[in-house]
Amino acid sequence: MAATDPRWRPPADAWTRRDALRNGFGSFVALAGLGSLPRQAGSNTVTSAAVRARARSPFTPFRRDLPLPATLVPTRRTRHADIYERTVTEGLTEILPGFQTPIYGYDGVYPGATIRARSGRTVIVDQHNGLGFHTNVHLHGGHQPPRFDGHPMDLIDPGATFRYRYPNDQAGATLWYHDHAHGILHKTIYYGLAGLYLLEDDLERGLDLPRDEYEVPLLIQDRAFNRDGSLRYEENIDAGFLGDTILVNGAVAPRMRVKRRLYRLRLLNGSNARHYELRFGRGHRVHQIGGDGGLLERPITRRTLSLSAGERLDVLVDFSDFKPGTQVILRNIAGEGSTVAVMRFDVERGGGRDPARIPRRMAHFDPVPAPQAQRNWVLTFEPSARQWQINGKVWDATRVDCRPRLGTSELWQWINRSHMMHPMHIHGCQFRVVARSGSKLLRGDHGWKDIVRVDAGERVTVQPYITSHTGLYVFHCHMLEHSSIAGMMLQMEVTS
Amino acid sequence: MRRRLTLPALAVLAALVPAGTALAADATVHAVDGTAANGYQNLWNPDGVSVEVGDTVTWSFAGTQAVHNVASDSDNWQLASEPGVARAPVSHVFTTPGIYTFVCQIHPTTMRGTVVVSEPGEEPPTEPPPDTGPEPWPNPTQAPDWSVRRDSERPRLTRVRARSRRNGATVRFRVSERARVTVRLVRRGRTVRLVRHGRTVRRARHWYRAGTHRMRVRSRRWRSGRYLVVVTARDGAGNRARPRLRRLVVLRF
Repeated sequence: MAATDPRWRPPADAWTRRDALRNGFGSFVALAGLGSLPRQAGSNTVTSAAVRARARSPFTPFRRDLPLPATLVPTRRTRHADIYERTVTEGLTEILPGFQTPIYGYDGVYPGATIRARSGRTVIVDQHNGLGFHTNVHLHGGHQPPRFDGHPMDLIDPGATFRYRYPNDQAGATLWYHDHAHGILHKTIYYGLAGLYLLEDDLERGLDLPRDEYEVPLLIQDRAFNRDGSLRYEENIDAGFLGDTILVNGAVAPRMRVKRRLYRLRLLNGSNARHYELRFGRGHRVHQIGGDGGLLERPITRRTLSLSAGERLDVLVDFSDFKPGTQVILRNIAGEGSTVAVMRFDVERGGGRDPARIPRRMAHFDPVPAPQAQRNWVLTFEPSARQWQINGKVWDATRVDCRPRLGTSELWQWINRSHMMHPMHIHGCQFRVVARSGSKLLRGDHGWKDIVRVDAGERVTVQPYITSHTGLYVFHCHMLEHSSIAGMMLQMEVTS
Repeated sequence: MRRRLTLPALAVLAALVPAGTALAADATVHAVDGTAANGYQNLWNPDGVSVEVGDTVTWSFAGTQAVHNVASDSDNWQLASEPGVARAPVSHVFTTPGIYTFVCQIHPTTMRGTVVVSEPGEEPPTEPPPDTGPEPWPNPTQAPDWSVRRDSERPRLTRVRARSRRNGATVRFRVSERARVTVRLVRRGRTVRLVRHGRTVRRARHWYRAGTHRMRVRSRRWRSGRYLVVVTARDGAGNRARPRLRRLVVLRF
């Protein structure tokens, strides 16, 4: 296993150095004019609103409107590509009302700005590393060549810039980007290095799906805090990090005003390890139209949405089913206490004529060629070494664990002999879930996926279709502590 | 004369004096799983024990469901145990005075503790200053006890005033939430026809946000007389405010 980058440190250190008074008692002193403390230039926390906000618990749910991540604007467009320039750096953001929380962010922003891409049109990201340690970017669910995939050992040196080129030659889907530097990604993602990448294709544009303000991305993450408002990380290689506060798009259990119309919600579980079972209200019926790999063939009606770490769901919710003035809580029934309320929808009157429709048929999936190989992957915990293992092996960057051929499909069986569920993720390709030992296929198993949940004691068979590129890709558990520090990651070399 | 201790007296003495100091001062540390009740923090309980030389400290994992172990975290002693779920207890006899720290290697952030070992009868050595790292802030929020809530609260109309203007009246009011406010004028028991946006209507209606607002109503035949101004409001969920009535005397020459 690669050692953790020794230069890594939590952003709280930077915060202490930069602005010790910002969230402390000194802010009140400065406000009252009792001291000669200089007011911080650009500080927006020393306000009466901030003081009022602090008087109440910053964890009170439904106090803040849902923030929407900004859409990243290309610095340049060519005939075939959109070119972006980004710097990953430290930053401050207001997660708890009245507190400035130090984070790592793409352009210093948490969550990262959304990249909107078109299928068939290349996106180029000139990624500058403004941090004091190595980083990289993995486009999760994207079919990019290995050198642009964010392999855990393909790192950008501090101060250096790397040009990522995403060909986007795949169907439209809800993708996301995050750090994938081995040994530290469980912390860097926790401290903010994640954002959405929405890839749209012609099929999607041809359907009457809700658009613009009625298409809402929801990045769901769990976090814990210190008294000074900074993020608190606690290492746990067994269950992974589990925070006691649910954030949606970086706000504590926010509220969102919705009109009585059809909404398209793109859900992403960006948590380190937490698994969600989501319900709208008392189990209101929603229509799943897509998953990890894009649109399904036809919508699936669901009342409970299972979302393991890294997974995405694309759902249509018809808020005209509710009367105006109704408040609907999005609940996590797998949570308890403070991790139940995810967010609230406040249904307003009006909405006008709704051009959006729930489509009957969407994608057409071509048949997958017969599998050329079968591989078993046994998931175990090795207590003496404190390792999560796949077939008794842990991550070794110098070893190739399998060599599938480009253009073929295989049958991979995940055999979970450990005491907990693992969301297994394969880079560089998508797969179909074929069978589960314990039950029929789950409703969330349909369509193309890149993450599948494998419950304790279960065998799950998936059929990856290796269509992307040749070269080295990794596959791993998406509970970040398992893959980043406990070794639960192997690699494959796609050969021609 | 020498007094002899009788057998019963010896028994009483034996009961009063501890059978052995080492045994009496042995300590047990329990591993505690992180749950919602303790903010998902896996902990040792207690996380600090004081014993004397020759005493045994036992780490118990009974009742836990997460994987734990205990290991030495300071250079002055050696201890390592295999992680496991509700694994067998681990014991260690401390033979040298000093301060020994231990850790669960699965949860190293929260499961750390100290064993302070002193000579019998001596003051235990001073513990190192506590870690002054950031203090955790557990989220005290309880799960909401409802999932869907209909709006059944009536909007409230307050501070309703009416003044006569040329060709009509101005009605001021305060509304407690976003609502559609309706104004109707009655003269001699009959509703006065009003002009709104070039059309003749019996009621003037408009949607207002929560707050203080002013609505102007106009009539083509605005004459002297006693008027009754009726102001009502209805929110988006259909809840109606209690109507407010105001008298208005118009004198036109």
